[in-house]
Amino acid sequence: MPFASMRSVLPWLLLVPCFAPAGALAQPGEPALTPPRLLELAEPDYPDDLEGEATLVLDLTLDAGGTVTDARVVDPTGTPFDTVARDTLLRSRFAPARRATTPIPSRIRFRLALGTGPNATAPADAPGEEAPELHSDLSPMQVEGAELHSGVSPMQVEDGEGFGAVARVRRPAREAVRRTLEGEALTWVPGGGNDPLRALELLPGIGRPPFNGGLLLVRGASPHESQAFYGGMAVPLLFHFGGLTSFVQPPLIDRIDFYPGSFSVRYGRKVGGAVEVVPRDPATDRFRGEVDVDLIDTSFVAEGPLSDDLGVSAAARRSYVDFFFTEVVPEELFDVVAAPVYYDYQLALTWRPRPGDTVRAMLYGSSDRVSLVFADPPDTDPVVRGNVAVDTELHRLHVGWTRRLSDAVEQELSVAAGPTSLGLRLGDAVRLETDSLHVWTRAEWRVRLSHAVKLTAGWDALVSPFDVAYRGPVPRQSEGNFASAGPVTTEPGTEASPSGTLVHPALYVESALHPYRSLRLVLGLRLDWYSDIEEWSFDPRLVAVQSLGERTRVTLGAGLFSQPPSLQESAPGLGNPDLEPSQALHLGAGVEHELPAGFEVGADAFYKRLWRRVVSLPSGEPPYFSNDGTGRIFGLELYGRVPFARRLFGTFSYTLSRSERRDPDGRWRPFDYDQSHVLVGAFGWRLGRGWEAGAAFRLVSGNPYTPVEHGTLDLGHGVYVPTYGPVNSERNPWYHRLDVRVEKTWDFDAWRLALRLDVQNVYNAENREGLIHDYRFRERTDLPGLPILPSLGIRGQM
Amino acid sequence: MSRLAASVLLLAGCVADLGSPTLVDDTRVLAVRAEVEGHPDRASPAPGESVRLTFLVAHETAPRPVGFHLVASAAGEPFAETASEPTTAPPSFDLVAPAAPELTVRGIFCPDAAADGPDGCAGSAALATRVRYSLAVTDTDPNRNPTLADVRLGDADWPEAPLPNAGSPCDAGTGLPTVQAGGGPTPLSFTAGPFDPDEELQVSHHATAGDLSPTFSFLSPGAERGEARWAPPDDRIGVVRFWLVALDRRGGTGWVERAACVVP
Repeated sequence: MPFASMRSVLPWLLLVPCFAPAGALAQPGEPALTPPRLLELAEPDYPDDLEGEATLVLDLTLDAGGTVTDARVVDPTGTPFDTVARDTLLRSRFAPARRATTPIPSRIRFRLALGTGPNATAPADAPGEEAPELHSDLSPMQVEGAELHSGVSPMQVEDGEGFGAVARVRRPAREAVRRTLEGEALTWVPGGGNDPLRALELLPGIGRPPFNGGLLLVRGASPHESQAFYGGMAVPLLFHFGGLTSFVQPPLIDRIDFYPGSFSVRYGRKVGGAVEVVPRDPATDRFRGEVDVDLIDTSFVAEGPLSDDLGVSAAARRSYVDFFFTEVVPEELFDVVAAPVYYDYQLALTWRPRPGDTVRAMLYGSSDRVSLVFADPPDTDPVVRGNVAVDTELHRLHVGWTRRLSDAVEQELSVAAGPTSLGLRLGDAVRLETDSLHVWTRAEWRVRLSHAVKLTAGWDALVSPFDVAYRGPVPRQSEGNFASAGPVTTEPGTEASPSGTLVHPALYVESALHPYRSLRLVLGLRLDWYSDIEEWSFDPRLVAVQSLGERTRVTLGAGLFSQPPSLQESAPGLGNPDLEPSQALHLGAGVEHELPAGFEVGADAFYKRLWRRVVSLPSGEPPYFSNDGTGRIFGLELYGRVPFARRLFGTFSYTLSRSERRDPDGRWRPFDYDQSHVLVGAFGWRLGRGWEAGAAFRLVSGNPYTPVEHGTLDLGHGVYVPTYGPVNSERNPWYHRLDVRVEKTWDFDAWRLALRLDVQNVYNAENREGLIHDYRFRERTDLPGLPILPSLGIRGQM
Repeated sequence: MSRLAASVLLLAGCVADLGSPTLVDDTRVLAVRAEVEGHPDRASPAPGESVRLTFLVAHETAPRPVGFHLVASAAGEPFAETASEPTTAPPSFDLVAPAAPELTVRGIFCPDAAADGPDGCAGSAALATRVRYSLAVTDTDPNRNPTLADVRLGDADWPEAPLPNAGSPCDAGTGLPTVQAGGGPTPLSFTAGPFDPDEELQVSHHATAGDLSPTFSFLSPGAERGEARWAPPDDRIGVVRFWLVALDRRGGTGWVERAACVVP
């Protein structure tokens, strides 16, 4: 079947170059230069007696690290505004200009509006009226679709190579929807505790995880249907203890790209969405350092050059709850075998031996561990007693090499390998130990076939030897598992110790073309093989991006997506090795419009159809699972953004959606985390003098749950078991929460100090996350969500 | 993971107290014991053997009449049923084991009301207790009912004695041990057996007043003595009833009943 589909689509791909008009866009051999980009505009420091407004144009000299080394006012006003402007920009931060991927010194002309008093305007934010959007590490091939306009913001490169004129550069899209978080947007989020992945929760298409956990809920898809990538490689664990904080450190992140659907064939094996965390290359101009201390953990980051072409960065974090945990918990409740502790680390090297060659090596890892021995079992589940332990560990060595083979061909090779282990113990009743070695490889070639056609071809593969030891209740489907409220004691148990090697290779090819200047088409094909179930999948995808003038884009996306069953669903003894991959059809349409001064609004509509979902067999007998589930998801996302460079900035998003599943009983029901309405608004305000304040508000539909109708006493086990009503037929109340954040920054000669107070759920809303029943299932009470959670942190930067 | 989170929250006492299963504060079905005719120590009948199921019903004060309706099935097919109008007599169900590996009994007990089939009561079912029980049918590997013995309250033996109704005034002639109201926790200990190899017995503890904890204790070969702690009530004077129920979680059941007198 997959090959039959491939035969029908391949001819289209081969014909793609034939449709491309000549000379539509960038010329081969153009200098692949990227302008510098403003990351952070320093707060202007006005003299007390200065009043009025002034708009000044300055020539800035930037070094290869993005530091402003010189600022000269082109037409001095002769007022103190000249000094204020110069001083402000000397303290501001830029992403450096780049040739290909190599940072280079540069000079740019920059316009800055200043003002004091009641009628003052906010500072301007970037060269020209809009900030350049081309990302600093994009390769020449990725720049190929840039929109170039002349005469707006002159820029020269230090070595005399003229940049010509660049005012506004947009990255070409390989996806129907890509939402990027970068720079200040990664850490400013009120309630986010300086965690860059928390910023994702402000974006449309992201659902609210219960208890503010680390579940990735993308457009009505299950958490296991979406994937996080770090440096292009899938990582199974992003958060400590399921959501406390992510293991990635803000200073080492260049950006986070979020793909809620219809994503590129570069990503596969998932039917939901994808999040790509892109690490930043270490600085090669000077040494920098940062230490961040809060009530739970401490982290540090240091980076700098080892030579002109070699940069290194190192970071680590460790929690210290374990130092006082035994002092604050009641001794009679449990014995502490291992108090909760987590740590993570990252070491990165970037070497640019010559223009066009970049070698990146990263070593990173993360570990969580807690082990407690409870004195008594819970009243409702006697077999769950004794040692309760969670132990997760991940280590990776990741080496990548990007090489520009010619003006038209670029090659990316990378490999990441390391162990992942997960241990979960719930007394003697439930034990899960998985140990696996993950070896990811990727090779990608990006070839410009003509002036308007680019072909990307590559393969990625996962090879993973694994050992699993499981003892516990018989496996059930992870979504729509209505039996989750019942005791383990009465459930039939099973034991299995499967081992083997997963081999998941994939080939993909993608063609981007411009039939005419304002239209971009991306056709992609992906072929996957899954050794555990001995099945193929073949996914064709299409994205069309139509520009309507300078500020408006319309996007359309359609594609097939496939996902193999999880290890526990397909491993012999635990699941069904005869399963087929789950599949989904994504359809989407969107429009985005840029308003003056960087304001941005947009809307996206989407529809997803799921089939061959893995569900439990009604009998509960081996092989436990079948592909008899289906699903449908549709929705509308609205969003707006005020750029971060402004004094008052923020985001707004609203998602209206419906996500339903159908199990073998034939009835449609809401998805476990179906959230009809997700409204998120967040803003920040630079108050001046180093003060910044922000607030974020969420209003979200309550998650569905399966009601318990009554309890039945199991006389053989001495506990009550629940009888359930229809799956997910009731809903928790609306969830609402306000988070606030206040930060004060002090700038000294060689370093900067910032103190922040971050308060989650500031009015202590008693949000219900579920229900707790009494031992007979006659009475019930709310399972409350997280209460008010203040967090104090201090950060020093050199 | 949701189950893990809920269990950890419950273990850690992070959620509101919704009542303890150790406290008998209304009419409760606590256990059922299967006894093969002629072999009362055997919990698993052979095909064709008669077996009697006797239910332990506990009351917070004087016994209330209880109606019930029970259905026995094998391989999903009902083969016997029984029902009773409300009565204070111990409920029981006599049946003949079918030629099937397992029989299952399910039904309902209705305080102060008759059962309306195996799923409902005549009137409100809010206080009803629905039950289910599975029993192996085998003639090759019979299971034995556990027994509890050597019950002690504090350091003293706690022998069987006449059992007045819970809440009734203490009568010096009953020979019940006396405990001072509001006193500190007193250990309540016992032994249980017999054990099959690698078998664990689960003993649940129940009382009509005071604070009895934990809910369960677990006994195994080499650790045959179990213990709970009972703190007498501050404000309730009179007889307090106790039940200890041992389960082997394979259908075997044993129990003992005791009483103590709380004095000012």
